[in-house]
Amino acid sequence: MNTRSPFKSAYLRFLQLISAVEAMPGLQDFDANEKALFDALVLHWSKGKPLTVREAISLSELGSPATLHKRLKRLIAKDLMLAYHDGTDRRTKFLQPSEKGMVYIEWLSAQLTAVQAH
Amino acid sequence: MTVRAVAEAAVLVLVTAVLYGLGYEFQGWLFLFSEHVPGVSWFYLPAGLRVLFVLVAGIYGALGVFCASLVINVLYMKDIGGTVLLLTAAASGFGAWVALWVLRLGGVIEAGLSGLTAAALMKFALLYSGLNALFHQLVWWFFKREGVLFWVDVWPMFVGDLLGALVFLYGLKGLLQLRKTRRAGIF
Repeated sequence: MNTRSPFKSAYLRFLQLISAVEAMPGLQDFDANEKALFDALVLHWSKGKPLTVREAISLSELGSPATLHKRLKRLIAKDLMLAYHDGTDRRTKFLQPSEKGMVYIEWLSAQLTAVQAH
Repeated sequence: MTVRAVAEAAVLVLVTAVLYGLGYEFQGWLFLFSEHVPGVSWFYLPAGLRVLFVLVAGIYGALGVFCASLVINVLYMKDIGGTVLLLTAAASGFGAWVALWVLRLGGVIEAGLSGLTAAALMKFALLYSGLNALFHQLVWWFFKREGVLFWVDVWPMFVGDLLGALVFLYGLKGLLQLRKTRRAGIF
């Protein structure tokens, strides 16, 4: 590829910049409502019974289906949750914490351990 | 350099110049209240455009900002002219470019922004803000621009550029997050 072309060079630099901008700290944290949904999903997943998307947006104690749908999309967009198919059934998607979600859970565990130590 | 490469470079200079000019107008329209003295603001959003253009388009971005600044200075900074006007535009255009090269020589940023990290981007924004404020104030102090107080004016300019660059970059991050959220398919 000819990277001496100013356009191509600018585009490649732009992609690198976007990647760095996305990794900037802050604005990643989720709000209390998203945290509540995240906790509920992780709790079910930890019991070996991950919720489906349809079940997750039916958690009426956390909000209406439309609200929970938006909230779930945000959790997925923030790479905290993953929606996956199980087996050959392509109609149902289950939810589990992503790698980043697991890092967050581990961080919370470490904080709890630190608090208990005091 | 081929004819095509020259044409592409010219387009980059032109586009960045026009966008920077529009950004300057936007700044005057919305954030005029943050002006400390003419040419110095406590919040300068086009600083983010300088960061973007120089990082993405390199020297062509710097030239674009320089050209736009020449026009801006002629139109809005009536108290300066000749060499001062030219050097003020150069400070606007090449402050970020010098910061980029300092960080490249220091090994913080690699050629082509390869593997650019968020921390390196923050360092660039910080260094650019410092150099930009320093270059502008040095030019004005050296040529005795009327009413210039180097040690008083350099700080608002530094803060204004840094705030502008950070708000711009975080605005970009917010837009990217929003786009990602809209695209996240779960069914």
